[in-house]
Amino acid sequence: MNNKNISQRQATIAVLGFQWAALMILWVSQIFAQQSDATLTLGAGIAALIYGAMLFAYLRGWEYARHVSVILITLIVAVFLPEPFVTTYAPFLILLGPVLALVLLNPFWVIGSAVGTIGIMLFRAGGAGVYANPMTLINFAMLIVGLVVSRIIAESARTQADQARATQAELAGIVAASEERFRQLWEATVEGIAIHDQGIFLEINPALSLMFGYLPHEVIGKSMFEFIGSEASEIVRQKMKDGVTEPYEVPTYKADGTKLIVELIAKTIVYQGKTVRMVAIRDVTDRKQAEQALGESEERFRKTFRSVPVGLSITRASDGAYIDANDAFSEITGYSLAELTGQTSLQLNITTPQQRQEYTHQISQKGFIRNQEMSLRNKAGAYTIVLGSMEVIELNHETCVLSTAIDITQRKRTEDALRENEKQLKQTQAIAGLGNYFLDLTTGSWMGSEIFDHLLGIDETFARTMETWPTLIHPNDRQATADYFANEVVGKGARFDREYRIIRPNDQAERWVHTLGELEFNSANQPVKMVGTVQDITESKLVKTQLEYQARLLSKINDAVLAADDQYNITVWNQGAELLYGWSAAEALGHKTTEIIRSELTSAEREEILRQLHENGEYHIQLTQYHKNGRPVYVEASTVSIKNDSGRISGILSVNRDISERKRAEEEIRNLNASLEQRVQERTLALLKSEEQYRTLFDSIDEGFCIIELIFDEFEKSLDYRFLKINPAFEKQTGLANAEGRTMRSFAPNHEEYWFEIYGRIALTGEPARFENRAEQLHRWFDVYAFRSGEPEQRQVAILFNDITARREAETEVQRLNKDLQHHASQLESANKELEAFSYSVSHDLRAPLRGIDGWSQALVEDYGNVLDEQAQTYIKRVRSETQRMGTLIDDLLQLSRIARSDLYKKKVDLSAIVEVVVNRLKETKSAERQVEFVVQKGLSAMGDPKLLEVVFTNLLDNAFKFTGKKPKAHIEFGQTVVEGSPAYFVRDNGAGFDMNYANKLFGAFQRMHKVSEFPGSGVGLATVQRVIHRHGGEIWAASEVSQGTTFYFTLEEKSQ
Amino acid sequence: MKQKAILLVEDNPSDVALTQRALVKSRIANEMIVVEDGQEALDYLFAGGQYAGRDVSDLPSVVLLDLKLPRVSGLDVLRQIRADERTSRIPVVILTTSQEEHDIAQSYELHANSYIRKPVDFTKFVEAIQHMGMYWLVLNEPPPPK
Repeated sequence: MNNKNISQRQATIAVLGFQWAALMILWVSQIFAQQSDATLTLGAGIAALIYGAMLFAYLRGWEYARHVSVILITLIVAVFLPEPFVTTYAPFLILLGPVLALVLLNPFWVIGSAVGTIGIMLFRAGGAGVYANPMTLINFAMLIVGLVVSRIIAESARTQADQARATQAELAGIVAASEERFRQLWEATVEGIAIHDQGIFLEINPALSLMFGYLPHEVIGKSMFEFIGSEASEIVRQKMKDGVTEPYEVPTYKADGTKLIVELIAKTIVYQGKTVRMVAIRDVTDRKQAEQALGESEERFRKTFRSVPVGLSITRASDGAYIDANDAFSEITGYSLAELTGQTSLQLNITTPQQRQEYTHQISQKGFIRNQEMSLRNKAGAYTIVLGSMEVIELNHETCVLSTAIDITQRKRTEDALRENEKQLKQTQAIAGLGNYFLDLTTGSWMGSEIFDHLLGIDETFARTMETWPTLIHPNDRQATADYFANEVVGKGARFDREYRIIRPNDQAERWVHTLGELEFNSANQPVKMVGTVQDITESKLVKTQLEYQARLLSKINDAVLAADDQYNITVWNQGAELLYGWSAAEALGHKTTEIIRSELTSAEREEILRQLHENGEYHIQLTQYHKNGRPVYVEASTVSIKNDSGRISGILSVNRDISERKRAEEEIRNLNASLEQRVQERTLALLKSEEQYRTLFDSIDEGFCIIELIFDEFEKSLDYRFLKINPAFEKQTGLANAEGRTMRSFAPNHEEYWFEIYGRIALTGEPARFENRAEQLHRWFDVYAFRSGEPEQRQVAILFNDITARREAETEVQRLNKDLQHHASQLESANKELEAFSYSVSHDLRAPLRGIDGWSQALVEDYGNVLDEQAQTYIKRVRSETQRMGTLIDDLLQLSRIARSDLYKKKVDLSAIVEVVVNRLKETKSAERQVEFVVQKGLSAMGDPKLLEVVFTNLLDNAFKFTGKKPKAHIEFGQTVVEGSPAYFVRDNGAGFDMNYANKLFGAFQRMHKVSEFPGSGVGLATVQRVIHRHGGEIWAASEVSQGTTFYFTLEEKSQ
Repeated sequence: MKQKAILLVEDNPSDVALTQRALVKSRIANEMIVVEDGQEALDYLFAGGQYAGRDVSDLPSVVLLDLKLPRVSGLDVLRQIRADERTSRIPVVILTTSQEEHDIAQSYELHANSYIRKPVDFTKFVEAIQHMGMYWLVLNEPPPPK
């Protein structure tokens, strides 16, 4: 480093620092100055502040502090430069920005700062003043240009110096590094390096020292030829002489005498001023040995390749051309290696295009082919079958295919022949249903052919031992077969020949097999193995069994079965035939059919039968034949012809059945039928008559009648019904016209479900039903009787019904009226309750004050009688008497109301006795001063409430007694009489009487016929009487004449109409 | 021995006064306790309410009981008197205006000792009270105390 050089950074710090210091001084001096300029002070202050900040920022590494400083100082100078400098003079201060830019930045900034300063100045001066002067501008421009140029010169000088410095430093570095690297290489490389001059070692590196086993000081300064051996020395001298620069190998020796092969490369170099040779030596002993070994291995491989009896060939993967092939391959193909090389298998016709394509495909898929049978065509055109394999290999950086081919033509041929044999055997066995087996008696193992396994229903998983063999046999045959094998076959050394059943393990089927077996004996005449066959004979066994069964059947059959040959000589004659015709088999066999079985057939008819037999193969006839003893038998004969292979009739077979009985039975049935028919006709006539009656009834009854057929769904739910038959009244009863054939739903889709349910139930159960139901859509009620008609499966129901709508409506109306009535009754009852409560109050609350009035009036008389004059005493008496009268009135009223609501207890009452009691009481209490004659009719009794009737008589008799009060001789009578034809009781007096014009008022409450002064009374008594009589259902009336007397008549029961 | 009191259960003050007057006229000197409704009567007899602390065993010689009373009715008072063994033996005379058969029957059902209908005629009323007093306070042998 050159200490005299000032760096940009140092310059920047110096300038910024100086500026800041100067500005601080300026600012401080301005503050303390006598006549400070405010603008200058402010500008200096701000500038000092900015410089301080910028210096600090730059010291902290902010490079742009330089740029910001230049911009700010330019602006400050231009803006704050006080007048009059701006417009009048151009002070050197305006150069502050550009100069700063010169030091801190580059020429562009110098120009920028200058132009900025001038621009702002011109703006401040409004385009006038000193800066608008071209001269000033030119001067200013010259100054700036000078500054810029000086900066450029300084810059370029510095750049050159920097570059020179950098190059020098770089070169020094490179040299040092190169030397260092060389040293390291020298020390570290595994290659031996020696520097020699004409064979005299000047230097050797440690690797060489190690390689040869000499220490450097042992060899340096000595000739190399002392060490490397004569052979190597000669080669090296020759090479040195020739000035060879390519590497070469020499055999040499180590210090310990070990053989060493090294590779050398030598170069002439200048070393310490001298021209010398530098040799790099590499130990290649190992490599050489490996190369040698490889060569030997390659040779071995080559020999093997050539000599193996397996055909080998190598083809290029790219074009399929043969590169190499061995002798075996040449033998297979008939082409020599020379002929093969460069050609493809296709070109030589060794393979067909299809083959080639297939092999290529396989290799591309898997990369190899293993032991695949290939048919290769040789040069002579014959085919060789080989077991071929192919594999992709890398040979001399080229993708090749190594193919092997083993000639298997001979083997193949043998195999094929064998296979063919086996196949034939298998086919034979399969056709014959015959399996062969082999049983080793010494080991107990056995094996069988495929067909054998198939017949026995076993597969390769079946364990074939002496123990498993019997398990295949049917349990029922197992023991017997085992015994047979042990005793008869092995025991006696005989042949195995037996039929028995087996159970196949695979399908558990029961099969019949016929097993044959030949024993083989050893030298000691001991059986050692058995070889034989098994045949499935199930079908033939079955046929045989069936045949036996049929034969048995034939002999036992009741029908006559006979057969004859083409000459009609009898060959078969069964028991049935013996029975039917009376001839034994011995008698019949061999004789002509016509001799044995006689009939009345003419020869023409016989001819016809034979003709038909010939043509159709069979003939059926019913005819009369004759028993041996001459008895005729009626026979149904079925004859078939038996034809031989050439189609000629070789015989006949006839099955003849005795149908005499049947014939008779048929005759009988015919007779019976005839009589039955007659009876049926009679019966039908009767039925028709009954039908006629039914029809009349059906047509004439007023009830509706119909027969319906129910329509059910699959769950036996009745959905609808159809009118099959209706009577004339039907339409009137239902309002449905032309119903026959139509369904109910078609008239009334919403017909109530219960109709369908009920009729469905009747149709299903057959239980009749009687019910009343509403049919809303018909607006009718029906009374219905329904019962099943016909057979259950017909699902028909007969319905007899009546439209009862009117009756039902009347009933409904009655119910409604009843309801109304109940309502009224309950209203009445509540009214009565109210009245009762009212009466109760009256009895209590009206009487209490009366008692007070009466009591206190009496008290007044008693306590103050002495101060009251007579007049006052009279008034008080009046008060008391009125009070008491009122009390009586209330009591009477209460009685009236009580009677109205009290319960009626009716029983037989002796009226005369009651009247007597009342009369006696009257006599005792009142009639002392009166002359009254009472006449009471004895023995009158009636049904009534005794208490209430006593009230009646008390009132009536009281009245009679009262109103006769003015008669000197009163007459009062009770009795029974007849009024207008009905009995009535009466109470008669000869008293005051009343004007009948007012009779209508007689029984009203508080109605009086007389003045109180004449006859006192409340006017409630007769009202009470009438009420009692009415409650008994009777009536009361009066007949009166003024001054002549009154008669009250009454009855106690309703008039019986 | 102090004469036992008469308990009069009556809500009509006029009737109370008339009854007292009738008793005086009949020269019956027993103290008369007047209560104006059924509940008060029960309170007096069983020492409840305003009569709390009264000696329950000090029973009146006779109870004159009206039927139509505020709060607890006469028949209910009678039922409770008879239901409690302390008071079940007290002579109870129904003294009422009602002549309803229903009331009479009910009263006897509940073991009333007498049923007297108050006549409107005061003379007859005095007579009735006189007879009643004579009978229950003089002639009648009272029930033995329990």
